[in-house]
Amino acid sequence: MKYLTHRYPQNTRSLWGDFEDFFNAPSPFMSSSNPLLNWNSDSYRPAIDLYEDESNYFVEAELPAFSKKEIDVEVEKDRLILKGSRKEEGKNGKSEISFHRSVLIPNAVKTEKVAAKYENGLLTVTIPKADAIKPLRIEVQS
Amino acid sequence: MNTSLTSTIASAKRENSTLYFEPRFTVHRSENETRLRVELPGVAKDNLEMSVNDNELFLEGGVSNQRPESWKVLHRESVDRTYQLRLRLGDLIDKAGIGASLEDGVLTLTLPKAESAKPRKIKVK
Repeated sequence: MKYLTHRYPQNTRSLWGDFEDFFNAPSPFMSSSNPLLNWNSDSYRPAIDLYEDESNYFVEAELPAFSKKEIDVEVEKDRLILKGSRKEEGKNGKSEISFHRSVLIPNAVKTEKVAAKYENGLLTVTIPKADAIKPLRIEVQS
Repeated sequence: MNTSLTSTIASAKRENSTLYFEPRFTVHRSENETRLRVELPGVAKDNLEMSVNDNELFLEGGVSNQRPESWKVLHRESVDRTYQLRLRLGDLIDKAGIGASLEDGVLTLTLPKAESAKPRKIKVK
């Protein structure tokens, strides 16, 4: 399979590595932040957001029209892989819409505790941080 | 042109710093109804408003995934936005019979054909 791989320039994502788009990735230089522009007939690139708080990393992906069953979330070594496909009936008959995106996850996480939730067309994956990188609060004793 | 649904809004415009987007939608017609599927990722039922006025269907959906303040952004591709769609409905649609359901970020509207617009069979006596 032919696929495209590219690296986004790093800015605020010091803990997160590169992104990969296995197919149909628009050039990062002309990529629009509008996810609606990234649609095409049979594969697309869902918009992905990354967040963190003290205890977790969060990966959010917009996947409208997918059902829970059509979405796969996998952790493979140091990668979180989001993929899925669904059928859509259009003017020219049935077509398959699929996506495949992966995110390099930091080392200090509990991969066995990764949890995913899908609601209103929005997938949220929670990746708990390992205790070692959580900020440690020390109470001041009087 | 014999279309009963016509989009009357530009795809994205900015009003009072809220970003309005026209959602992606598809229209399927069958003999008795028109089905409209509108993609509204992140929009919950409570944040969706719909109305039909003077043959115009209006819908507005705010993305409700307000994240907790403790979440720091590491990388963003999505945009905070409000979806807005205005569609002109033809006279051939039974407005009182419009049905709507929201599932997996997709709003499905069924627009039944008005009785007067359905083909009528006339029995030969």
